[in-house]
Amino acid sequence: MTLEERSSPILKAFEKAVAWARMNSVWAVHYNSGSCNGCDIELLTTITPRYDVERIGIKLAGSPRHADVLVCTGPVTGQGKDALLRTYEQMPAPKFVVAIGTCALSGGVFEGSYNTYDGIDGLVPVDVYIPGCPPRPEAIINGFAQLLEKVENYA
Amino acid sequence: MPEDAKNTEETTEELVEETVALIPQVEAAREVLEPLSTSTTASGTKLLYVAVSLDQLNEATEAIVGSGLGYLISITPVDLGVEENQFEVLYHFGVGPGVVTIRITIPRDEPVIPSVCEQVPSATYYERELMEMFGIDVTDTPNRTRLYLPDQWPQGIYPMRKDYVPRSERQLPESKKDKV
Amino acid sequence: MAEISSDNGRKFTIPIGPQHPALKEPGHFEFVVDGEVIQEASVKLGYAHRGIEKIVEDRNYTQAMYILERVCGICSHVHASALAMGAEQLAGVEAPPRARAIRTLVYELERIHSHLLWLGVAAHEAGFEALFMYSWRDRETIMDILEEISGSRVHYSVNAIGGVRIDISAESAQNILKAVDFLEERSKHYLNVVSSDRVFLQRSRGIGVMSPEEGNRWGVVGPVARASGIKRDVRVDAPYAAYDIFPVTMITASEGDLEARFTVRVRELLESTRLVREVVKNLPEGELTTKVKRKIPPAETVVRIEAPRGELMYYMKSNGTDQPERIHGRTPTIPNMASVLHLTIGHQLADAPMILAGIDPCFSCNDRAVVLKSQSHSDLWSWDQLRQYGIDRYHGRT
Ligand code: SF4
Repeated sequence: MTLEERSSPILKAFEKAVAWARMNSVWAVHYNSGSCNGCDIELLTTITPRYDVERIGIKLAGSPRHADVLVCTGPVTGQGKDALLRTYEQMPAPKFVVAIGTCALSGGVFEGSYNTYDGIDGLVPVDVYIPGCPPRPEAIINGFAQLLEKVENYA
Repeated sequence: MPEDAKNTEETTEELVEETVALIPQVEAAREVLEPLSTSTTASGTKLLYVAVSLDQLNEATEAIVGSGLGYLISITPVDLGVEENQFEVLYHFGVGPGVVTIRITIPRDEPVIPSVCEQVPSATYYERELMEMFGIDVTDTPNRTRLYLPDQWPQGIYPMRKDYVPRSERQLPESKKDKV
Repeated sequence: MAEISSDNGRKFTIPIGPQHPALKEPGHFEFVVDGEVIQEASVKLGYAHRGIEKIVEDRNYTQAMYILERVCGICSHVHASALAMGAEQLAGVEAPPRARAIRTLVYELERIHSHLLWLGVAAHEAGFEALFMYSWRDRETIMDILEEISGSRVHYSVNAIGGVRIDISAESAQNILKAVDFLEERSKHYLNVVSSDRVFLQRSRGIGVMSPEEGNRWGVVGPVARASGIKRDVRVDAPYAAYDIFPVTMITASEGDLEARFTVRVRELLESTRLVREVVKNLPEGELTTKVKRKIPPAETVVRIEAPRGELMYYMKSNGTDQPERIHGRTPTIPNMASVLHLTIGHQLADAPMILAGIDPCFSCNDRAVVLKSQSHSDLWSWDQLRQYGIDRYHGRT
């Protein structure tokens, strides 16, 4: 494809439409890389009636192949590392990563253990960091809102 | 400090043995284990530690589980350190309101124990943990694969031993290196 | 057409996990199936192995308590209080009565939260989304209470070595009573649902039956054991904290199938609401902590606690310093997991998730603010702002 073609108005309009669609239905896949569950139950809480992230178009998908966003919790254990990388690789581009919880950010209280990798950002690129041990559901949704902004501006 | 501590420990032990009677279920277990044990210590009325020699282990387990007195809660290995050169393996049995612990001691350089899976099938999980974390060899255990450690973990390195240096065996990603 | 028959000796291995669409925790299962029927089952754990037992060996007791709290985000209080009680036993002191009652109160609140959570997850496995949503909505009531009394929704950090860190004010007591009244109503409703909904019963009645003999052989604990008629509950057998003052009625069933596991847990919800009410109304007066020396003389002890999933045991050994020599835990999922894998054999593959969820497996067994660089949002959202955001977004889309 030449440069001219790529900047053709039709293609641009098409890309805009795709971005709009993507931003309105973000599907996320959840991977637990060895967290204590605290973050996972708070993440699940966000899809239940009180918080309900589906109102901003976010839905948990079952398979990484259907997902736009990888939501990852936990400090990444030795055994969980390969599965994390595999999950990430299986996702279709463009892909985004959200790290939830202090563990996923830096290893948290488990930093320095023999079986953890001190957070996921050494292994996969992270777009949004949500700190907290565990972050409140409000905080998680706020993090998702930031992500949506990023998705919207993604070209 | 260590001198002091030793003294207090001894005195409390004596006190316990003289004054407090064990609760009936634990007392019953003590009687059953009496002929097999090399020494017993009680702590309070509910906790009993019974030292047993290695070849009596299966018999002692059978004595508690087979008679329906109690059930195996867990197996705890303890590394007594390089100087002592010994491992302790503790078998905790829930006996009514109390806990009876069978204690065996094995040399650190030749850690081999028999399996108790014959008597308690669910012990396989604890024995697998023992093997991978401490490198204690459990003969005749039905399953020898790893339970907790990652597949790529090197053979012959046992993280729960006291002389293990954390992270000596594994590369961290570049960006995290400075933290170690 | 190629003939597919179940007796041609071809078996398939179906791996499930560790990235699991339904369970929130990582575990890797392998089922060997012949047609639809499971022949063999095995599990690989360790996806959540963080080496906690090693970490606590070079922390002091207080730090170790906070780390053990993070063993599990669902039953954080039982782990932290196990360490606190163990340290107290090693040091030869006892927490004051009010502290023990508050610990008991939080145990029961936690049990309510955990059982409701489980009810939702298990219903989700059965494809019963409505029950999932309802039970999690009701669970928010208890989360609000836990947040009100401790300041956090998940890691309450209620314990201190020698007592507790929080007190129950008269106002919170009122709120707790109100919340448990509501939950009692709801639990009655759930009991009705799990024991009478026909579709649901088809997934649970007579599935995964475990006889008491089998249960004893595998050493199962907690609601799974009680659903098989095994009378085993640490709160009754060996009362700790304040369970001697506030006795528990043990709840058992004899069927040993999935339905029994559902009803036992839901009836435990009712029992817990009763206990909470009793503790709140009869909270003893007095101190919240006793003083414990920082250095703990050499000794060893065993602590047993009835976690929401069953018996939790910690072995602790001190060495005269302010750091523990060895801490070893045994969580209830291990014996239950061993037994349940055997139960799946001979069942349809489709039943496996339900049976697994039936034991409530827990493989792993507070910071509030989000500060991210952004021009358009404030740093922390309240629930109302959040709601507004959702509405704006909805209207804003064209
Ligand atoms: S950040 Fe805290 S709550 Fe989240 S997984 Fe880690 S320890 Fe658990």
